[in-house]
Amino acid sequence: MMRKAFAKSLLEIMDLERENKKNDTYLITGDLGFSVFEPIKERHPDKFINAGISEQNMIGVSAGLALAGKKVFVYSIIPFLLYRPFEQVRNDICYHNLPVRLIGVGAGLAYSDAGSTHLPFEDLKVADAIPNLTILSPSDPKEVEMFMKHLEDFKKPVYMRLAKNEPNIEHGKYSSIKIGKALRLRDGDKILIVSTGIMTRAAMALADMLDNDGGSVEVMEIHTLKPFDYPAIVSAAEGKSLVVTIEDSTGALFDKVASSITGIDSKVLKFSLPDEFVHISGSRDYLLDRYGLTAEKMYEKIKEVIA
Amino acid sequence: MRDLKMKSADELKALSKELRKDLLIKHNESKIAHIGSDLSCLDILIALHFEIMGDDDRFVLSKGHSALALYSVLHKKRIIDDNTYDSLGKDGSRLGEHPLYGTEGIEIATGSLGHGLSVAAGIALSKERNKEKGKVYVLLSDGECQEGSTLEAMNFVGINKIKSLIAIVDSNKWQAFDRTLLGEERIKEEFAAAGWNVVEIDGHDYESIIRVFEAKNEGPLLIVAHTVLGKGVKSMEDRLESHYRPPTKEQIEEFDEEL
Repeated sequence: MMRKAFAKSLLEIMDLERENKKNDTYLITGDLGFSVFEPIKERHPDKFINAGISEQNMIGVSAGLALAGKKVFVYSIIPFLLYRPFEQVRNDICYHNLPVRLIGVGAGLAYSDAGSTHLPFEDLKVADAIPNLTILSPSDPKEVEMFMKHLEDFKKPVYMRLAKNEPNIEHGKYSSIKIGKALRLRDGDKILIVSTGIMTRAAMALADMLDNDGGSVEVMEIHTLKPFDYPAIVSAAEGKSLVVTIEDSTGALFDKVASSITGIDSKVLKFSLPDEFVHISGSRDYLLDRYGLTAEKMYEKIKEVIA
Repeated sequence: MRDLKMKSADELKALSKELRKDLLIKHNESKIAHIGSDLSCLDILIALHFEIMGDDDRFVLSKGHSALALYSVLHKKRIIDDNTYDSLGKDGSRLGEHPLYGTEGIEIATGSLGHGLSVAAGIALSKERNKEKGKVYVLLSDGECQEGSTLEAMNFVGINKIKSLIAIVDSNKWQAFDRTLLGEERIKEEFAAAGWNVVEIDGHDYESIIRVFEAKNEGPLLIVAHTVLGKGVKSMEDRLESHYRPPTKEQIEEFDEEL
């Protein structure tokens, strides 16, 4: 689980700081974290803040803490972390380039049965619009743990989107993760798949299916949407007949990939959420299937395109 | 230890006259708006920066539209240098109508209302949890108490009993297009109900201002400072126009004559 991976890593950071007599890292939550943050609250009450149901203030306070030299993790459900206090995120944190880590839960369709108010399908485009903000979109709990290590001394604002209860993909490339660098998960020379977030799991399954047909598929994971690793995508796309983007958001990944390979002679196929509100409830798998984002549906579509 | 300059009230008044004149000229030359709000909060800024605050203290200008008043104080204190100050209103200046990020002496760039109290609360909370000395002062406009985020911060400070935070409301009774819609009485009630100590002062009387800052308090403290928009030039005082129109040459002369 990504949430638990985050909470566990943060607890380790705080424990270690206490051993070293430092008092730098804070967690401020918007009244969320039941069954996840109790150990932090109990062991580090001086570094835990429940901001309550007042997200604008939560972001402003986190900026103040950072101005006073603290490393701050802010936690909430993505719409209440990024949309409700958008101007505080923009002005107080990003404009001042402060080391505040915005940790959002419920990426993509993770809260599929909670309705559009809780579904941040456009989060990547919204976050991408703000200067200075590094955007992390990990695919599984192990990646979250890796990012937490990298974030310990990261000096800039970060938005990291977590989904919910995903198991590890076990792609074996965790130690190569570096903020701002695309991660090659598979080699291949005919088709390039670029994925982000939990869609990497579907991307890997899709690559297997296409490989069985002699497709030879390379998979690049974009775990850092911004800064975007343009050179890696340009070079991976060279010589490919087809470039496929897969994301659980409304096209931010596609926009970046498509704009980076305009000079390359290959088709680009976009798999994303539509630019619309979700008016139905159901499981995430149900909605992903409805939007054509399962490996099977994407496979069918690709077969049509390359036929 | 607080670095008390112990200027006399007369010296502060002289400084007030000097910086008022300076601001009238700056606004006249640059044609930047908000002279009225600068003149309503100037005496509070002078008292804080020349008498009250020491090295351990921090100041947040939440009402960012009074940037020029703060620049004039920071310039007088030699925190903003002559070249930078002279560039005000000119192309390429680092001094904005609202404070820009990175300007000397500016804790946080404001201008959008309702941000400063939360940021100041975060700085103060950090100080308290680290057992560091010093207080955090934040200057709010009365109009900005309508912002939901100000009320969120007010409650956060009350709930967490952040005693090192002192908020001052520049109660000049005007907002951008009306008399202040959420009146002073309501502001006092709200903050008191949220657990703040609320006191009132004449925001243009240095003895009154300094007395309240020096008094021991159980904080968090809200100081409602009764002020006058455009204070110092009769034709500008308590008039909505002085929120927008820079002073004319005649009004600068009027100020000289009133002295």
